[in-house]
Amino acid sequence: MASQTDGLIAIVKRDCPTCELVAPVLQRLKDTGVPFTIYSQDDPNFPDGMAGVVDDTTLEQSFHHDVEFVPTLIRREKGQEVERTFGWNREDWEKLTGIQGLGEGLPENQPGCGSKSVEPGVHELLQARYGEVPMKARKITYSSWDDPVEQAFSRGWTDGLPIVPPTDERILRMLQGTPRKPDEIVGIIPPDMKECTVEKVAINAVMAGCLPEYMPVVLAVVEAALDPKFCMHGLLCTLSYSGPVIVVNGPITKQIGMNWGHNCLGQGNRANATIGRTLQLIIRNVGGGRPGEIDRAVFGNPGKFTYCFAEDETDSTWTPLHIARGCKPGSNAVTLHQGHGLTSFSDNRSRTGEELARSLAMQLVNDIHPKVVQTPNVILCISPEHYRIFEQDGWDRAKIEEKLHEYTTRPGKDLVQGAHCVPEGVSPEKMKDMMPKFWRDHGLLIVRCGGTAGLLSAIIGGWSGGRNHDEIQPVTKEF
Amino acid sequence: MPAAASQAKSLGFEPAIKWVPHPIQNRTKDELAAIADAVYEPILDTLRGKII
Amino acid sequence: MAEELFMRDPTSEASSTLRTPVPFPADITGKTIALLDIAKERSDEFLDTLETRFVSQGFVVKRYRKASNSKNAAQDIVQAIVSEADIVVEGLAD
Repeated sequence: MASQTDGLIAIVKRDCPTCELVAPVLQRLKDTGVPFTIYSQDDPNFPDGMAGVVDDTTLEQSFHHDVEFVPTLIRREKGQEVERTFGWNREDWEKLTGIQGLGEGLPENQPGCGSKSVEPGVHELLQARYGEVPMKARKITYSSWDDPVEQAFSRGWTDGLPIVPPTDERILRMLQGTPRKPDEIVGIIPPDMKECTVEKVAINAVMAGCLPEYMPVVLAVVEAALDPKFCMHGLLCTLSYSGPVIVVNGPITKQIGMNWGHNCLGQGNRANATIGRTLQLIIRNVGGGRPGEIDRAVFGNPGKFTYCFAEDETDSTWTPLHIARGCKPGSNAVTLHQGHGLTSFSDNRSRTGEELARSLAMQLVNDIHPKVVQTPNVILCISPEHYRIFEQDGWDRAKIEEKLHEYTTRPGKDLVQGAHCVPEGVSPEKMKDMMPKFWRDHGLLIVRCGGTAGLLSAIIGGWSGGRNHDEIQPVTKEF
Repeated sequence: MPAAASQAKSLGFEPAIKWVPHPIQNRTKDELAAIADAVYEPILDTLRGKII
Repeated sequence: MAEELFMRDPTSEASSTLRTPVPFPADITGKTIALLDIAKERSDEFLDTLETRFVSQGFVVKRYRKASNSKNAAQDIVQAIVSEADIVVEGLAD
């Protein structure tokens, strides 16, 4: 709690030239006999030779007095602060103290320095220690002899990798990343159908390793996952491999340093890694969705740790995914796909759009099973070098999509159950039909990304739940 | 008993516990066997889920 | 005294703050019971009686002993119990 003394209070630190400058002024004020408390933020022996300086190396008093700069000079009367000034300005100091002729020989004014109590990350630590915090989540105590990382493992909070312990100062910092109130309910998380507040999102985001600036993306991801059309509950319970796959669009991808280039589907980028991880931790911790329990996946896939990347929007002639799906130009958005893994596609010989489209189609039709159609929705990641081939022929997104849908449509006679001695396949009544592999409206999501050299593209497979065209779809959320 | 409860709180883990009378070290062989015998059925009931 | 610290609970808080042990098997008939001697004085005698009773009711019993009552069980003992037994009964603390 803040000191209650009336009189003058000064907060200084040795590591501040202006505090050094005003040391004689502070001594003069002390010599007048007026009640005067001097707090030192970094060295109780500063100012040199001055008796009675109070050690505030814990910064508790600096926090309670809301100090942003040093030196700060405060006058209190009848238990209240009535005036303050900071830095050195002779006129202000004389007015505040009522004492004339201060600082003889000193310049008229000199700016102060930043207070230690507002250095990056420090204020939240002080708030957690000495102030009021908005968090309502239950406290899980441990002693300084314990390892909180191990505690989290043994409590089942992790995805198998270590988490960042969600201490109050970390959560406070994370909450700085959004203007939304901590007790605002973001949604109901399956399978336990539990309320998830912004605070719980922040706690899990801390654990995942997010920076506060990722919070707008994280919140949009959680809301998109809870859209009924995404069917998060079903996706969690499935025997299939799939989990949420997140594509991020908009200026925010650059602002928070996401990766859409080399190794964008792999490891190494904090935003890519931790945004996807946060959603999975929320499903696990708030929703209660855990492997072997509600999660019945036969294999799962490594993407269930995290699967999140950005689209390459550096080419202004390309229509980004979120714009193609109806978002406003310049907006940010996340698109959530129910999917898994990666199927490789290497074509070093196609030189025209036609050739490349036909070649891609040969690989695309294999998702889930070559003879299964209108079931998986997929993401096709086109690399820069493959895209250049389409671009040379003047193919834009719409043209690429049109051709890929055309070349992935095949005669029913090759796909019916029993065709080519394979029992799997479509109903025999489709024998005479031409069968598209993908739903025309949302079955094939094309994203430009990947490293600049390499005639490679990639296919992110889709969930078998996609066969329910109306009920289960990828979801795009603008924010 | 308070020590066990306190340690359980510190560790954040509460196993199923069965209590036996104190002291132990100075018991005769027969007395110790009787103490173990007396707690056997409660242990079994706990393992069977009949009691906590 | 060690300082008490805390983290905030990331879960829906539907369960106790205490960690939940793995449940006992639904049917313990004929299961293998690890009797873990925590190496306090007379623990072995106490467990001898329990072993006799368990065996008489058709359980398989395996005996293990910590090196010292003041330290955690060594990793090889823990791993042996995990791989060789279904249930652990440890004693005798006082």
